[in-house]
Formats: sequence, structure tokens, C-alpha cells
Amino acid sequence: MKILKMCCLYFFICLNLWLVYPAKADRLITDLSNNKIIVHSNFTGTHIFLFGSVDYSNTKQKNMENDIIIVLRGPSEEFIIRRKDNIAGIWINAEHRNVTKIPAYYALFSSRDFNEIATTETLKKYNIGLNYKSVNVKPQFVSQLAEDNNTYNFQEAFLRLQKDNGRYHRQPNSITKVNDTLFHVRINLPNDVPKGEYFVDTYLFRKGVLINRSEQKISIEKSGVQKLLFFISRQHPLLYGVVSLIISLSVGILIGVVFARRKH
Amino acid sequence: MQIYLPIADISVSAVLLIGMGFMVGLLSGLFGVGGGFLMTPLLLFMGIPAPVAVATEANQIVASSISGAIAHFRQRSLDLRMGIVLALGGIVGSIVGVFIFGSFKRSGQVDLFVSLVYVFFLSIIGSLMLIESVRAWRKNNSGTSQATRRGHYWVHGLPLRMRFKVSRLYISVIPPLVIGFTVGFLAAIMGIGGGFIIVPAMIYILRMPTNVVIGTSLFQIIFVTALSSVMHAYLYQTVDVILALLLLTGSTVGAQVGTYYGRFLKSEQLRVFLAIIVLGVAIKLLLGLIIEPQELYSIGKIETGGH
Repeated sequence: MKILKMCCLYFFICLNLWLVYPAKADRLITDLSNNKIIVHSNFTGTHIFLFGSVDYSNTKQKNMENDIIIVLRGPSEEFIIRRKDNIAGIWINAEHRNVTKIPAYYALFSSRDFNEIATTETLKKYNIGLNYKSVNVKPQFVSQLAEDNNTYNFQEAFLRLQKDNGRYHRQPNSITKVNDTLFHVRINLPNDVPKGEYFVDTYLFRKGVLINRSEQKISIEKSGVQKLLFFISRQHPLLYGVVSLIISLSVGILIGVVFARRKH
Repeated sequence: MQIYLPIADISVSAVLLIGMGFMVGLLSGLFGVGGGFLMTPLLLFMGIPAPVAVATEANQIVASSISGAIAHFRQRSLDLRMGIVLALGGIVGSIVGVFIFGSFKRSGQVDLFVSLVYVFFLSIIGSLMLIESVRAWRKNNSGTSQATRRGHYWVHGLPLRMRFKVSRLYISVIPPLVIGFTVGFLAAIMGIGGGFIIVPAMIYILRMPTNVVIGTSLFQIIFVTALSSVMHAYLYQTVDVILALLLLTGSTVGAQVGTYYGRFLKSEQLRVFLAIIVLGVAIKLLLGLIIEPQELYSIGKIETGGH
């Protein structure tokens, strides 16, 4: 089912590209320094480089003013957002909203200020950037209207919190253009980067018009032991509980024995 | 050195965790207390989610109590029959506790619940400790000592009497069952062993001889915390074994060092110090509840399952 969906999506994108771009557009070629990141237990964050090049062989143009935007999109997840209210002198989680599928990580990079590259409408058209409307929330009660003033506050708070957590950020002027063909960018990933499949979409703009785009994937995974522990804890919780108890018990006994020996 | 905790899903400093374990272990060695009631709030202050803090602490307490329990068992300095009765009450209590904990977890109020329970108990214990230690300090200076009273009263006269040979008691099983239940319940919702409740209860309510109190309480604590940690892991998947191991390494070493130095130090002055720490933690938790937070909103992840 998922594969079928993906195929449809892919087909749709291809169709779009064919419709949107002139038959002979300059090609955009990108590559990543690393497309598989393993998060070990001592992971302190990492960085990857994206290298790109504009291929003019289709149009034989020269010295073009290229603008680049890169979107790094993490795995889609569901969230719950809660708001505290003062009830009898204590700050208690009162209202909440569920946020349906939204990237857990979202970063924007560009070669110059976003509004200099293209208009807000153009960026919106290609789904570049997030705003409060990207945050799809389910109302707390069925009787509530889907979009009241409160809902806006929740959407806005979600974006603000994700920004404060370093999960959502935008870095204008971060892409270095070597010349009118080559460019590169350093993408930093924090130590608490959400795990999963990432998409890196690179957009080539010229005078506010999208010329071409290119897509790359990164997978960020927990390392073997971490993944195994998480997997067992979810799939075989009873086994996990008993085994972790036995592990802790053995360490406790072992340290006790070591110290008991030392005293004698 | 940052280390990623797979269940808590955050990266924290391993040195800090081991150090924290050591400090709490040191205090527990010095004062003969379990330390869970300090460790869980510290984990909360570090940003570890309350369900993970409570469940992992339960796991860690089993491990840090086991060598003491074995030592008492070998020396036969415990009342096995009393221990079993207390453990039976405790098992029921921790089952009830784990389920109540789960209902708060589902409604999104578990952090509030844990904080409130901690503020309540820590402020009572801290105050009692402070009063008692200041009093003991004064008494010691004036040179008088207090003899413990032994005798029967109405609590012992309830029905379902049973003979506890080691404790030289012939009392109703209802009080030990209720005490066991209460401690088991608190262990499951607070991530504590509950030594600071069960020990005074055994001495003052059950009137057990002091030489078997510690061994018997450890026996009960092992069963109750083991059960509650397995249940937390089974029902809510919140036991972080890496976190438990790091804390455990620090706390068992700390406890040994604490026990060693505890013999040379005057305990009354130290008890005042412990009481102040306990009250400080209670005040910090309370302030977190009553001061208007800078950020009213908070984000939680929803696990969709079925990967």
C-alpha cells in the first residue's frame, strides 16, 4: 500500500516536473558526503556536506545568476501539544491538541535571503518552508470547531517550540557558491536529531523562477545496541523488563562482592 | 561524554549520571537510606520524562539493595515470615500503583502527579528529619538517651493474628499487610524503595525489634521494586537499562564509600544536612508547580507503533 502510494507520488512529481519545466532546462546535480548516519551511544552530533553543480550542457548558457535553496526534511511524526493553565494556584496541563504527521526535523538553507530568491507565493507553491498552516491539529473535542483562535495559538506554539529545540531552523546565506556552477553547504545535525529517513531537496532558482530540482536521501539510524534495546523494549516488553532487571541485579551483586572482598 | 539513552530518547552526560549516582549513593551509605527519593527528582530536573525516571529508578533500587539483602539473609538478621506478609501487601500495592500511574500517564498529568506526591512526602520527611535530628543533637549534648518503648496496643489486637517468632510478636496480619500495601503503592508511583516509610512503621507501629528491621525491610523492598520495574517495562516500556546501569555504577560505589566513612562521622549533624537537602528538593519541585512557567506550551511525541 505504502509502495503504491509512493509510486503514485513519484509519478505525480515526474508529471509536474515535465509540465513545469521547459523541455531543455539546466540540470541540477547534487551529492552528499554521507547518506547513512549511525547514532552510537556517544553520538555528539555530526555534519554532512552537500555538493551541487549546475550543468549548462542542455542550454549552452553562461554566467547565470543561480540561487539555491535546500530543504532538509526529517521523518514525519505525530505530536501532542499541551498548554498549562493555572488551576487552584498550580500550573497544570489543561488543553491539548494532537498534531498529525509533520516533519520532526526541518531545516532550510539558501544562497542568499529567501525573499530575494523568490516571492513568498512562489516558495509556498513548492512547499518550501513551514508556517502555522503546515501544523495540522486535531481538536481536543469533537464538538470544537477545527479552526478557532486557540488552534492558531497551538499551531504557532508548536513552531516556536520546535525552533527553540533546534528542530526547525532556517539558515539564509549558508550555501557557498564557488562559481556559477559549483556550490556546497555544510549541514549540521545535533546530538538529539530525530532518527529516520530524511529528504534533502535542492531547488535551483533564477530571477525568482524555479529552474530545476534534485532530491537526495539520508538515513539516520540508532546504532546496533541502541536499536536492539529499543526494539526489544517495544516488541517484547516483558522479556525486556525481566532481562534488564537481571542485568541490574548482576551488576549490583558484582559490585557488592568486589567491595566485600576488599574489606577482608 | 554525552551518551544516548535509548528509552528516555535524550543524550545526557554519562559522567554527570555516574556522579549523581555516586552522590546519592554516598548519602544513602552515610545515612542508611535508600536514596530513591532523591534520585527520581534529580532525574526529573535533568529533563528525563517522569515515567522513565520512576520506572528506571525502581530497577536501579533492586540492584542497589540486593547485596545488603543477601548479607542480612546470610546473617539471618531478618524476620522471613514478616517479610513475606509485608511483601504480599506490597505486591498488591505496587500493582494498584502501576495502574494508577498509567491512568495519569494517559491523561498527560503524570509529571504533575509525580511532582505533587514528591512535594507532599519530601516536605513531611524533610521536616520530621530536621526536627528529630536537631532534637537528637541537643539530647546528645545534654547526655540523656531515650529507651524505645515495647508493648501492645490496639493495632496489634485486630483479628487474623499470626505468630512472628523472630520478632517475638503475636499480632494481627492486617497492620503489616496495610503497611506493605502503602509502601508498595508509593514505590510504584514514586520510583522509591520506601525504606524511609517502612522502617519507622515497623519500629513504631509493629514494634519489631530493631535488629531485624533493616533486613526485613530490604527483603520486602527487593520484591516490590522488582515487580514494579518489570510491570513498568511491560505496560509502559519506560525502563531505560542504560540509564539504570550508569546510575547503579555510581550509587553502589558511593554507598560503599558512604558506609565506610559513616562510621567516623557524627550522624546528628549530618542528618540536619540531609534534611536540608530533602527540603530543598521539595521546595524546588513546589516552585516548579506554582511559579508561572515562561513557556506554557509543551510538546510530547506520540508513538504510532507498527513500524
